[in-house]
Amino acid sequence: MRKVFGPICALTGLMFVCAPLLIARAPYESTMGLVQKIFYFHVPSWMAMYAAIAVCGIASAVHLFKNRPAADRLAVSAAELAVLFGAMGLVTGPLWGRKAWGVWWQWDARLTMALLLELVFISYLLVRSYGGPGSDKLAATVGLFGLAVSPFVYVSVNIWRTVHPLNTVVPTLRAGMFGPFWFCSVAFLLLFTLLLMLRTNLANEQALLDDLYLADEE
Amino acid sequence: MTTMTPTGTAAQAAPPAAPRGKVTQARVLHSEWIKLRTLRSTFYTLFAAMLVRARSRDVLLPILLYPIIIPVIIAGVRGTAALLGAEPDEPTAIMWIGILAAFDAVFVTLALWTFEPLMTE
Repeated sequence: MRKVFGPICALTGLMFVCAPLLIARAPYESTMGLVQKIFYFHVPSWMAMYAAIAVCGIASAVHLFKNRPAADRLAVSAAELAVLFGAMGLVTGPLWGRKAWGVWWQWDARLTMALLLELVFISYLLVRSYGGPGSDKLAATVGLFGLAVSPFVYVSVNIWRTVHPLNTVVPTLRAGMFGPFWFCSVAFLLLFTLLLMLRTNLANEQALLDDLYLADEE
Repeated sequence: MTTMTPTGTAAQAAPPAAPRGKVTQARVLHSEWIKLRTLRSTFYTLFAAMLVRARSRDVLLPILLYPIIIPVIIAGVRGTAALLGAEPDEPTAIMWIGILAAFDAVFVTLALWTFEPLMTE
């Protein structure tokens, strides 16, 4: 893990330096103009959130069924990142919506479901912080439920007629937008990996410290 | 014994009238109540049972429950609204019932699946 950390760190930094240049050079969308460029940050942050949810859900299942504390530490790190990237998506979305729909927020299916998904992971963190002893198993179930809810959020635009753009907007991008979009997606996923490694490392050190502290007391 | 048997069969032969009458407001409400109760009961019970041992459980239960339960409630309300409008909108109601069924399938499976490892430490 430590060997790849440096290169990933450098690569992510480089990509985030290059990203604004690529976004600035990408062609303007005909109807939305400049505001459309938020798309290069909005969609990748949700992608990173889904990645975080997947990691959190799977690690939670491993902890729940196999009782592995290491998986639990991975799950709590991923849950924090899910909240972080979800908050980013929820902030960038209204910035676009203000221009596209004329309102900051609308209670349509996609937006509501995305907010609820964010709330599920906030509740995960709340259970971890205030649940007392044994709350790790409890939180693991919440993580699993969050993973189960996330596909509904993804397909919600296809089921309901919402004001949110469809998922098919990504494969039907214009040629000039495709490159910057995937570049930003990879950059966000790398950032997610980097933060996950850092946070898991912190959680591991914390657990080690707790063990040493307990051993010293005995 | 012989006097008992005819009364027994008579009681069985005359069951309460089958509920096949008109659709009334009370019956719709009753069916909605059953739907709500049965849909919620699985993960509601799971969360309630697992919070029994947790600290500050009275605060945590709504925090855990509402984000997951709200889509189900919205689906139930919107489906009912589609049916009770001036012109009953059957396709919309069926779509919402489908969503309820999908949620139900996922949550019942998950609740049954996670109940045992959660309760047996």
